[in-house]
Amino acid sequence: MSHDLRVEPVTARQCIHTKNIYSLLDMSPKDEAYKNLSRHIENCPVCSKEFQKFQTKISAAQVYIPKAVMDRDLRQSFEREVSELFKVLQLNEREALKHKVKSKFKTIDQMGIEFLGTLASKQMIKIYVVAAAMYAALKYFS
Amino acid sequence: MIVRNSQTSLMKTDELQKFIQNLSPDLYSFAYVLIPDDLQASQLMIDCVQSYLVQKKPLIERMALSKNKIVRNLLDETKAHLFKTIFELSKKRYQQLKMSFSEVEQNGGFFALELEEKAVLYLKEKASMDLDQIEFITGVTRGELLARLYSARIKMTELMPNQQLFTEILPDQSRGGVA
Repeated sequence: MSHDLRVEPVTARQCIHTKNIYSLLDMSPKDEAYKNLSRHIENCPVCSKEFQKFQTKISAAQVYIPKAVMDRDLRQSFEREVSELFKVLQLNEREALKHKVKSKFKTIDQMGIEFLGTLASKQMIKIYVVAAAMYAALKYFS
Repeated sequence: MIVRNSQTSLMKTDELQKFIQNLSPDLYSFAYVLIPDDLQASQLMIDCVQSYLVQKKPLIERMALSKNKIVRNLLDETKAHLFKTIFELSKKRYQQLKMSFSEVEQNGGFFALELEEKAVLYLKEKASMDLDQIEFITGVTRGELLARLYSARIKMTELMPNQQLFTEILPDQSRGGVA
């Protein structure tokens, strides 16, 4: 519906667009179809009247859509059940926390071992020897 | 540090627990619309929370150890997920329990609607949800959703018990039916 909907003469009792007006309630005001249809309703007395009638019926019918209220006992019982379910879940959560801490310690241990390994590597031993030789030479000539 | 972490994680799951407990009036109201029996509706709520916790367990466990932003996002999604779970579970139970609901169908015709129609009409009119949320909860496309809303509304107006209400409100218009 990219163009305006044609308005029937005022004397008309029916309009071909009337069947579409009921969808207006659920359309987004941003929709092009919404804009066209609401513009049409403003100008077409048949659709305008029908839409008003429909809106009145819908608001009257809203009273019959129930909103049940939970009684106190049921609410307390639900809260207890939810609390129980979470207790079971928290056990697993503590396990996850333990696992995370353990894995952190493992990483630190690994880093320490790698550091010691580097200190004791062949390359480092060569460096120690060169450094010791340089120290001895400096001591000797100074 | 471990103690602090543990306390933080407990606080986060406590927050989720309280959030779910506080949702109980909304969850019950929706569950009752689908399964109009107080005990069955409350059982449906408990089952829905259990199912949600099982489904989202890895996420909740991660939430307990993660940043507050993730917790916030999870809380935002929880309501819609719980409503969705209630709807899915009720669809499975409805046929088995249908026979016991015959008495409540006198409530203005609302309980005589199809399960999906009741759900969409309730979510739109009473829970004031937008169409995107209703689409997610009921798992239907926008077109199907609009069609269900339309047919639910038409049926509601036809099934309303007190038809003279319209003649009182609209004396000159009550002759014309809904197209």
